Amino acid sequence: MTVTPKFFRLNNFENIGKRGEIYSKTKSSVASALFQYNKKIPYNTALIRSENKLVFGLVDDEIEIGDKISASVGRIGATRKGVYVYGVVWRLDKNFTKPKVKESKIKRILPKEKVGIEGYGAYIPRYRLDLSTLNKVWGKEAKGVKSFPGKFDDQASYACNSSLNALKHSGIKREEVRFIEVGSESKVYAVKPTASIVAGLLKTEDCFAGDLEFACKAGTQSIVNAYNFVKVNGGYGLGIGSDSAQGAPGDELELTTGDGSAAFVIGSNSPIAVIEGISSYTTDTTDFWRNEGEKFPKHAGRYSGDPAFYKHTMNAARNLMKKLNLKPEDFDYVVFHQPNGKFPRVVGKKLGFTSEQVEPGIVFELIGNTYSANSLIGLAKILDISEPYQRILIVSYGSGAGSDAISLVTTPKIEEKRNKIERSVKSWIGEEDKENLIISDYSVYLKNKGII
Amino acid sequence: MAIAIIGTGTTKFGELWDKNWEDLVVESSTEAVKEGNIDFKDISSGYIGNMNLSRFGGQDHISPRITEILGINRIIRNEAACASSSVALKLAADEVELASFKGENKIALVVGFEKMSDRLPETTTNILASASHFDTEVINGATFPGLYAMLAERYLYETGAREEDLHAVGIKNHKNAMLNEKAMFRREINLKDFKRNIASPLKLLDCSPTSDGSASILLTTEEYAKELGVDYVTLEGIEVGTTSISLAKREDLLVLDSAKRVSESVYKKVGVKPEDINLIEVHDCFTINEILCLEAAGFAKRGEGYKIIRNLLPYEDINNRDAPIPYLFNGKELFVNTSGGLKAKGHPVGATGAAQIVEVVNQLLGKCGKRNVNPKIGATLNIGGTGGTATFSVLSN
Repeated sequence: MTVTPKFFRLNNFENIGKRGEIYSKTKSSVASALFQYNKKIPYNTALIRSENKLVFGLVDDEIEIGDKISASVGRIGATRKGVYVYGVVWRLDKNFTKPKVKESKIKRILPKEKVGIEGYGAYIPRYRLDLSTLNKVWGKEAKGVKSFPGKFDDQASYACNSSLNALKHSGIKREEVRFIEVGSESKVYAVKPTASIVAGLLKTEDCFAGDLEFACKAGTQSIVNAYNFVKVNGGYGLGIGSDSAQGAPGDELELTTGDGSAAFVIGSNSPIAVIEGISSYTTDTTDFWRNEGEKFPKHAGRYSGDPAFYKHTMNAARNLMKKLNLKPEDFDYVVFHQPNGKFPRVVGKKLGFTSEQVEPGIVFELIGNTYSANSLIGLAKILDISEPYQRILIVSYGSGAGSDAISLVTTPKIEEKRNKIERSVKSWIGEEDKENLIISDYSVYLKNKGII
Repeated sequence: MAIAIIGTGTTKFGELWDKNWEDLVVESSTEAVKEGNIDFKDISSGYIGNMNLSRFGGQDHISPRITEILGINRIIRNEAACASSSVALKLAADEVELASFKGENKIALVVGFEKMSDRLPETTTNILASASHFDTEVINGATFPGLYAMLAERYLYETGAREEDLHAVGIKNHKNAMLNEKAMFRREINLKDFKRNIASPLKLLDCSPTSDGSASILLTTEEYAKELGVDYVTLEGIEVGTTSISLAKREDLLVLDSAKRVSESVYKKVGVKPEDINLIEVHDCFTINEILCLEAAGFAKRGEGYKIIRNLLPYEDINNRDAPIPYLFNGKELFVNTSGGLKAKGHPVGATGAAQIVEVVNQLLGKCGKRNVNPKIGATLNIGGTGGTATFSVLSN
């Protein structure tokens, strides 16, 4: 038997998902050498009463005795050799709201397809950077907000947390997952898949797992790969988009890059939405890229528009509609990739969609461009408000360049499973409580993002 | 058969830049051996209390290394975090007592030491944190100040005690240390000095320092002590107890249950009560712990120990009083930490348990000069970690 060195098996996930109450707490201004690897001081720790027992844990919030908190995954440190240690980070149960359905009179016909989305989940860190702070530093005419990491967040912890939320919604057991793919362009390791960290969390070993990169479209491609896997092998697959999007300080991208993740459980047991068709469009177009070993991506400015985003998005969408013999009016909602607030709205108009179809899926203004997770979070937001028998089109875009288009029709299961959703995507993105989340301090952003 | 302490020794505690750990061991043990009027070769066993020389000084397998220095060829090293040397004393006392049943008079030496100042503060914090539960506490960012801070936070929340009550413990112990030339901090502090946050609600001055130092105890049977014709103090009773290392697994967070259990057992065995004690050295590694120790040792009920501290009100006037400053317990003076305690005397973790005994022995023998309080019965309560280990002893002459 191989014995793994202790530091490589420190991931400590047993309290994940639990809820509790602060029994005692402290804010430490000193840290041990072990914990200082990430320079995350000062920090809060607490004794937490959960399920009638006390547990010790890190808390990513200012807290008082009696506060209600819940446990999610966080990166709690790193070893001297650079191995990240993931574990439980407790966060305040604050501003959680349930999804609200938007009523619709139109009922679409359910296709014969059996494979689709069994459940979905989002995870977006609580912090929002007030972009006007960039005016002071870089002289940009910026306003609005974008999401950025808390002290214990990273691309892998996002993927873990959105996956857990998705599994809770789907109702399937963690160990039933047979396929995990994480689409991302900000993997925490260059070599070692984030998908393996998710697999470790889920304790599923009989599982195909890996990461995938195709700029901002790797998330939809992970869903497509999970869908194909399930069609051939049965069982359940997880398609995840997760990013802590990089934008160099001072670069235009810094105004838009956000943090977050969405995960989708794919299966054929009781899908809330079946996938009726997929289509993709790829060319060699270099509008945005990051060289091996570089920290931040580069981009070709206005070239990102017509020959890149618009061309690929429109071709993928048109190809799929042609294949399925559908027109824009056959869809209730459509989600596009959102590198900014303008592109998805303009491309919707160009393709013949109305703003009623486009607007519900827009998340950009509240969290920014979360790269691989971007259109997936938009899709999750739409599923939150969808009734049974509605058709949804999602078209991603990834620089390099390509677009995936997926058409979905919701089933009556979407109603049955809705009560399992603990927090709506609207609440995750901060539509209802954005005032609580905004931080007007560029240095906090730079520190949490790992830039300084 | 009673155990007699025939010699003690202690180095100065502090940041002893010009000495290495061997110097400290030799200094304190030589002093004890000299007091006992014997030679190192007369000692049958040496018991070493040390927490972490391997990480503080790179040396494991300490016992033969100490044989090499002191010439004692039966050395046993014991580790119980901050209670290392009091547990070593228990082992030594057991050996002497067991031999006495067979009519043998053995002499045993206890040496506690720690050399902590050679490491950077965050490394020292990390090493000390290993006395808590590594996989659930340390890995999630626990430090010792942090763990005791959570005890303090809950204590303040439940009992109505205030942060000033914690600070008063530190002010009193600093004042006491003014009269102890071996103490690390010999300066007065005031309420207004409690500013810098370490782990809320604990301020820097609520925490004991990291220190270097060593303390030694020489013991044998009472019969043999008389034969040697030296002054001695009787170790009436000593007991060691352990409980869960994790704070989260304690039955009651605010009760040092191991300490409560061992003190009750020693009181019963010796036939004394808390009100018979004139002097106790308790484990004030953080000011909150002097209060928790007083409760565990039977001087107050759970959650009421801070009321003893309030004897010192008004706290602004503590420094105007003559040291050593007593509390009042049952209308009688109760001296706690006349040495200055861990807070002001210093806390070289492996030496602390032995150093507490050294203070009580010297008080009982009237050898403490200006800080002598002429006790009849003294006690020590030494804590390892956050209370995972506890040693309680009662001494008299």
